[in-house]
Amino acid sequence: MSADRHRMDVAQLVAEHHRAVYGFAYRLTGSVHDAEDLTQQVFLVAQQKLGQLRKIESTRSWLLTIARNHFLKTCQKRQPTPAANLKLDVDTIPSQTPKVEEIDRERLQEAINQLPEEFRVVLVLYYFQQRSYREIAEDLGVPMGTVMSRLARAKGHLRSKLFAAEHAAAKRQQPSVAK
Amino acid sequence: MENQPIHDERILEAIEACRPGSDDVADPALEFLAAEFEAHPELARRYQQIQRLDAQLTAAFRDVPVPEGAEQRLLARLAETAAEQASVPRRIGRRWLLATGGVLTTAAALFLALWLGGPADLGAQAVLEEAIRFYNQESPRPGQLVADVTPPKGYPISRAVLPTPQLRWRAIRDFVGCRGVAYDLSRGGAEATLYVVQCDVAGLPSRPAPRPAYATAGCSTSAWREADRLYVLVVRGDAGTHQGFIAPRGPLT
Repeated sequence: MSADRHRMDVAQLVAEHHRAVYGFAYRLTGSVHDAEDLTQQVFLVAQQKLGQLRKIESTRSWLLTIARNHFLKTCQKRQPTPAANLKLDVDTIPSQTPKVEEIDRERLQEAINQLPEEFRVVLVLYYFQQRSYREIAEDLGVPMGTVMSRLARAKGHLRSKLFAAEHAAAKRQQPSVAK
Repeated sequence: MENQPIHDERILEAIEACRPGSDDVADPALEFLAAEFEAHPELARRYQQIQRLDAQLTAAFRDVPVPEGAEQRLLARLAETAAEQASVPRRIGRRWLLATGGVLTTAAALFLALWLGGPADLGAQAVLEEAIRFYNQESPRPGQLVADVTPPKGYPISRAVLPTPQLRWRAIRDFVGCRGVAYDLSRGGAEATLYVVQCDVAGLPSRPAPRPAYATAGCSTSAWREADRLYVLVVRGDAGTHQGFIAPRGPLT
């Protein structure tokens, strides 16, 4: 294991994980410039702390953890949707599941950007990193119930922004289904 | 309407927590969902809808185009930082204390040898011993190809050694208390590293002798000075292997 670790070098890390780290950083920061900055910070830290990596197979997770922590430490406060406005919306699921290419990437990122950081991080860990609610709770050091609550509300917000037109049409047709 | 399970936040949050294509529904804290699905088919339908939608959203989340040239800019930044670190005097730390302790121990031993009448070069010997210790701790780490990322200025490879076509380098710290560059000269199954630091050590020749100056623990090593730079070659193997990395004597052009 130790020998494997020493064989890893930063150029190799970049070649293998740059795209994933950049994608993760972009989803968190919401801007190309900030994502590139965050990605550079991640690999600069990795360059210094490569010796702390215990398992080669955990490399990507390690890099994304650095990105997450760095984002939470340094991200600038924007004007997100106040957390209190995020309600659990049960009517945000489109009747027809869209194909991945039909999901508007720009609108997706706009919806993510509107979320408060603590909701955004949970959402990105869930979708991008496919972490379970238990793992997210462990990663962030928050109760599992809090993660489930934030996740459900963040997902509802995302769907409402992505599929707003369809919701409006559905509500006009079937007003009694809404809560 | 109010008592319908579709408005039960606990159930809705549990459904939202299940990752697409996972067995999260079997999680002890979520397994109550199975009974709810059986009792309320609309919940089961909602679960399936969310699972399908989340699979698509997961793919969309991961689909992020990387800007052109971002990887090259990142590599350049990393190389620049490595160069800066290599040229900044290191902070005194635990390794420095260990290295100093080693030097002092060696000094004491050599003082005794000198007292008994044997010739000794205190600085050079300490460097050779430290080089083998350092080599055994950090090797093997291939580093970056010279062709891809230029090593920092001030630490050129010596013409006294035979370079390899795929020459690699890496920044080093704490080598006899200095930062610098290590060139991986390994080839054909023979392992060797050339350390270059800006460090003043007295009593060293201006180029390596074909035979190593010191050998221990399966390694052989030699040290020399060029301008203000200290070069230390560490080879895994005996004198014969060591000699294979030294350039033949001749006019240095």
